[in-house]
Amino acid sequence: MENLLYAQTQHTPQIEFNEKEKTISITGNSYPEDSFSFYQPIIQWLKEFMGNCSQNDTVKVIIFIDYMNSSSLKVYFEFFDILEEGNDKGVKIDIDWYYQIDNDIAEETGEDFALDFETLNIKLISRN
Amino acid sequence: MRNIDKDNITLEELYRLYTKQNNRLNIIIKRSDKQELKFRELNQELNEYKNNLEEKVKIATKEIVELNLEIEETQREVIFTMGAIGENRSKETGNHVKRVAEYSKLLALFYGLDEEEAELLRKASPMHDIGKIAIPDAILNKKGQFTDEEFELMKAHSQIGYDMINQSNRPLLKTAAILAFQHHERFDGDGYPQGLKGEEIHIYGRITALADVFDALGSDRCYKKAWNDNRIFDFFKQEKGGYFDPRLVDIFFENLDKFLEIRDNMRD
Ligand SMILES: [Fe+2]
Ligand SMILES: [Fe+2]
Repeated sequence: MENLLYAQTQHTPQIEFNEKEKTISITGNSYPEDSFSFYQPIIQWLKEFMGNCSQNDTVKVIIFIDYMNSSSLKVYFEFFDILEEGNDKGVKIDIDWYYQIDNDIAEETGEDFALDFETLNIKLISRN
Repeated sequence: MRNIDKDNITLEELYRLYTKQNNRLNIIIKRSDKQELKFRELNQELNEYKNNLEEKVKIATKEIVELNLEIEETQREVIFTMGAIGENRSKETGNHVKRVAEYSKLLALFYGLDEEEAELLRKASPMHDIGKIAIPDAILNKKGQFTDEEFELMKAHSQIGYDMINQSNRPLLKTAAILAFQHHERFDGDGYPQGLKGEEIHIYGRITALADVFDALGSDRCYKKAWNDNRIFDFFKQEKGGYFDPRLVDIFFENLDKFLEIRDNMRD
């Protein structure tokens, strides 16, 4: 499986998915014109990657998104659904949700995910 | 989202899935509203800032305009005061410089200079005799004829005035320097200090010469009584092309009523 790398743009985040290290990181803004087609290959990669993970694996997920639009938010529910499936089958998944200290919307979005996916280990971390 | 197998799914499961998706939709809508609100607040803040800025620019512009007016006003006062020093010491009246200024503007306009240049001339005019500051009272106020030596000293006021004002680059003072230097030049070349002839003399100098002499002849001076109008007019006709630019003499007679009106309105 190839690693997944996207450079950051004004509208889309930097994406770094590393299969061997089992690290997944997303940083930047997310308001692509068409969120569903932008994230389609990313979701596809994650599904395949999660399918290949086994019980003793530990996966590290880092998400630091300053601003995301509503359709991106909808995609991230799907994203977390896939992580939850992996979690259900015994893969250890640590998720760090970063937000700028004064960005209360990003903070609340992290809280909403933590509430909605109560079995997932989502840590909220503020940054200055 | 998990795939739903329609045949095997229970109503309970379907309801659970529906509730879950509905909750997510609510989260998305709630967050979207929040973002919209934030956007509106920021937009409003921006507008207020913009309005504030416009207001500040307006105030600053007004202050600059007022400051400029004040500077101009001060400049005018300084010029009149400077002119008055020269004129007063030679017992000429304050109204003399004002009348000469008005005649000069009128001549400039009829000659074909534009309003801006004519106004510049009017403002600069009071300084034409500024060089008299350096001339001793005994000579300035002497009754009767000058000796040759005294006359040479008196004539120096043109050069002195020019040297005093010509340091500045401001258009007003540049104009004033020309006036100071050339207001005693004669059209026929017999004037001083340079003895320039005809159009070698700047139009400002030719205008000021005529305006200054017209007013001086009609006023009492320490060395002479005021001339009556007919004598003045004869002199002007006689000096057309001699002392004065013939074109300016024509302009003067063609518009005589306007010049006399200025004189009447600004009597000593
Ligand atoms: Fe003079
Ligand atoms: Fe004079």
